[in-house]
Amino acid sequence: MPKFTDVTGRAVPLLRANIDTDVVIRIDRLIGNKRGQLGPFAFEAWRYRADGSENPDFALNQAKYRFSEILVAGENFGCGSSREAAAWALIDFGFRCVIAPSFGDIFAQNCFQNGVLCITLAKATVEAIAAELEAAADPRVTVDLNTQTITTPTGTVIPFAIDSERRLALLEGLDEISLTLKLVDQIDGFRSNDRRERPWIYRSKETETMQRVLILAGDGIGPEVLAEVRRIAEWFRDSRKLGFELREELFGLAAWERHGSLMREATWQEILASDAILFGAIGSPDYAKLPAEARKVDQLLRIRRELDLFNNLRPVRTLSALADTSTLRPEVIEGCDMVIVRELCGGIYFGTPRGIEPLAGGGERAVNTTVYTTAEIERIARAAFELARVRRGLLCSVDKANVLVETGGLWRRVVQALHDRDYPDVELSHMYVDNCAMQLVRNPRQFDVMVMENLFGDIISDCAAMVAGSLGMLPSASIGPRRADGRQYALYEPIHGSAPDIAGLGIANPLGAILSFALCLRHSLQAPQEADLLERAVEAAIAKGARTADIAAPGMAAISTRAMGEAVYAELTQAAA
Amino acid sequence: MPATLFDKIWTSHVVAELSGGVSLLAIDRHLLHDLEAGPGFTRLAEKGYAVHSPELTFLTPDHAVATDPGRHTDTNKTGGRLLREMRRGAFAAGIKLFDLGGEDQGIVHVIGPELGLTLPGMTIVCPDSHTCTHGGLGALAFGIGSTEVSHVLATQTLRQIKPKRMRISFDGVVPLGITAKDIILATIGRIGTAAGRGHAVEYAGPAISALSIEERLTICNLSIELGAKIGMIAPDETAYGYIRGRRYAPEGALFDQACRAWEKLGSDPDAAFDSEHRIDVASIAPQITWGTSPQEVIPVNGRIPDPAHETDPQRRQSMAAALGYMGLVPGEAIEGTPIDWVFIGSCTNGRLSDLREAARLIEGRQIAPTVRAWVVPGSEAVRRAAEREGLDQVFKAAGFDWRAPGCSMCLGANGDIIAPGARSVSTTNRNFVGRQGPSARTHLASPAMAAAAAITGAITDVRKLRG
Repeated sequence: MPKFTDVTGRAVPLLRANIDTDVVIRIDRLIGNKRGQLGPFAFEAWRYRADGSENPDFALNQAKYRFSEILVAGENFGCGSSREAAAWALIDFGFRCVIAPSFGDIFAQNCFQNGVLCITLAKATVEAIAAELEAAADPRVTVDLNTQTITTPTGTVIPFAIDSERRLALLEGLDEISLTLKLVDQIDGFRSNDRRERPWIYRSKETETMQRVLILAGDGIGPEVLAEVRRIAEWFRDSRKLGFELREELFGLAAWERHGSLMREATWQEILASDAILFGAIGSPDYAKLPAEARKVDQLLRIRRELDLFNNLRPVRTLSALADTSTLRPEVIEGCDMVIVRELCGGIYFGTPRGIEPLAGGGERAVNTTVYTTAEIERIARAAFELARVRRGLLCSVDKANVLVETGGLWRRVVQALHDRDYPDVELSHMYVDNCAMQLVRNPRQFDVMVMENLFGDIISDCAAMVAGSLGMLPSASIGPRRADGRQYALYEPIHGSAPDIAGLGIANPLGAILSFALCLRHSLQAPQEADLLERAVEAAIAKGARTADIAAPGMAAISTRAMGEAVYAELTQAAA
Repeated sequence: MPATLFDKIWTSHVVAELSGGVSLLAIDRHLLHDLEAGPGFTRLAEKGYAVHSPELTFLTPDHAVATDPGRHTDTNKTGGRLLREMRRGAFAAGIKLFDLGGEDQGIVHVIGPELGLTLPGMTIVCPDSHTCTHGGLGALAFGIGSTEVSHVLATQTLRQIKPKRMRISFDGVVPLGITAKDIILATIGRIGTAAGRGHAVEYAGPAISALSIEERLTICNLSIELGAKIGMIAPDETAYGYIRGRRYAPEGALFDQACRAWEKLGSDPDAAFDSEHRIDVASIAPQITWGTSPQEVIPVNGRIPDPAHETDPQRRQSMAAALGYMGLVPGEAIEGTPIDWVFIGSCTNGRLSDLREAARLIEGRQIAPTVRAWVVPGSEAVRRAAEREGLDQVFKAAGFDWRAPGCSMCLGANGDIIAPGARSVSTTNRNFVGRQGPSARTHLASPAMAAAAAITGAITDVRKLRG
């Protein structure tokens, strides 16, 4: 906020009573004209005639009052609409101070917030000043906030009163927000108490339903990286006061060893009761040692299918500090920020008929089928449009409609129809998947949000992953439909696998899993500002040189999984202090 | 110590007392609309602050959205830019947005009460001077400026100097056909647009208790035109019944607990007010403004005032200017003044009961051929309810345009303006110079009066049409 100490300048009288803020600035002038550009429109109904020429009878247009910095007005100046632009219009016109017998309450407040001094004086005093201005050849006035005095053209000194805190704030140009945030403990104390006294302000049901987060660390490096995630999640729960429960269940080989099942029934019940699953990884050579019966069902696939986690998000963002970990040239990938939205529950991975049969004449015949219905396409497209809307507003739908005219054609038609009906504000383009693969390598920056079927998404998102560099960095989210009770399943996992070759060595990169928790904060826990905090902490740790083996440049020291987790934790606690 | 409704809510929300008589107030609901939300988020990010309480913040686009049937994001281009900024900011902070195209979008002061976001005893702020509307449910609600929006976003508190307390008591029985709009316009006419300055107003008396919630919202809506940024009516059984079952209202045991607390809010019998007025409602006739301020209002069967009879020279000059702008002749009857436009809508009179009031008169009739007339429902919920009752068919058959929810012609921020020199009868809250377009002439009135004017093509005493 600009400081106000004193001003010596021309003063102009405008003694009409009840000058409202519509007269000061019309509302339609605010759409299309920013603050700083409003000068020409201040008092326009009175300054200009119908033909646009200046009205010579209006005081502001008269030679001796031009470039006035002080306005002397009638009572109830600034009544009417609360628009703060009235204060901005006065500033843009050149006024620093208004003197009047009384002001519209909201207008006076707006003036103070913008460093415009409003002085209240008795009506007779105001009229006397106005009379002096009209009589004077050069209507010059000094307003001094330090001494709280006004000096008129004839040298008369008039004292004025002003609230001491407002006076200090104006003199020092102090921002009120920072002044208030010094009282953050009192503010938080009030709210904690108020939640007990008036719970209906904060929720409509008697018992708040907390979000339930379940950790399934799984196999390989899963437990090592999720241990770092757990510590960070607990910090968010306890220090940032996010209301969620955190539980953990064994999954995969560890579950087999403890419970005799890769996923026991109790774990499945926990999954069904959860809102967000933080998943580590699945897979190990030791699975071969298990009886065939035990490993018949792919448990992760079961989770995805039964929870109907159709909406798979793969964000890909280049961090400048890690540009050199990509196989693509830094100038190609710099500034890349995109999300691939992959349909996860349909398409060729699940379509029937599927099977393999021997042929009479020798050899075999294998069949997989791509199937998509309008409803399946529409729901993933809708999710993609909603995401594009709150990002840069671009959606690229990827298909193979030229050759697969049935599935590809339906996909393209449904996405286009949804756009035309519900999302005309998003810019939609269609791209064949082969061209898409090329474009990702040639110019990945062009993309904002992409949407595509299951198979294409699987392939393209791994291709896109190379834009960001190491697989160890990349998170993903798989989200289900919103159910009747308003709840929504989601599973968050790093895209890397279980990496059995480095499992147990304590060197795996935990950032993919940590950034998956950031996605959980954003999409399941409805706390996007907390997600930003975590993502910034990860970037800060990397910027300061923390690198696990997979992202260490030649010659750089590599740190352990634990040390990387601690580096992020340290950045978090420092940022929140 | 006996306290007023206003005192009780103020005191229970003070976080700290600062110097210069300034209190730091906790804010329970921060409502934002399309003109201020996006810029507010952008400013906050520029200053490096995060949103303090996303869960206590609610957004809807209303000022700059187009009201054309089938409108979308970019139907009004500048509105589209603001809406995009609002959507991005909402997503980035995790704030609930009742978006265009959704079921709950509407004028912010219509959807607040409708969704149960507005509850008695709350502090509610919004960057719009008609935030006082929410006082109709016994909330302490007022308009704030853009810089204050940033302060609330960053701290969920506001620095305020406590205003004085005014009570306006309404005695007598409201005559048949006289509406809440007539009551409040007549009150402004009697005590003036500066009367409430520096005060929080409580409206009381049997005539007020007899009003429905929608009528109470209309009364409180025009508090700012009395100069008071806060206007309230004590909550009672009518209010609890209105609130019960609404989306964000408390349920079950929590609702009962809330009601018990709300019952204690009313002004104590011997509470002191700094200023009091009494209005006898029995003498109120249908109102119509003649000038360029809401206080320049007369009964429809009255004569246009003559500046020559005015003793104060400034007031005389003001009146003459207003009459010149409005193209009216002093001393003449205002009834029969031909009009060009009728607008039914706004946060003042855009609710279901307002549309029913107008439709009752319109049913089976046609609007005058010289008139263009619009109905803009205050929200998607109002629109759906009105269409279920067939009110849209009544209006359309008569020749009205039936449009989509938004502030629309109240202030024309979305381009819904009338031609220079055109004269409208409008169910809105401001008749300032240029409000509905450069050189537009606005007459404020109730929905029934607006309907009557649409039928005859002139300012009309609605009582004559009822027969």
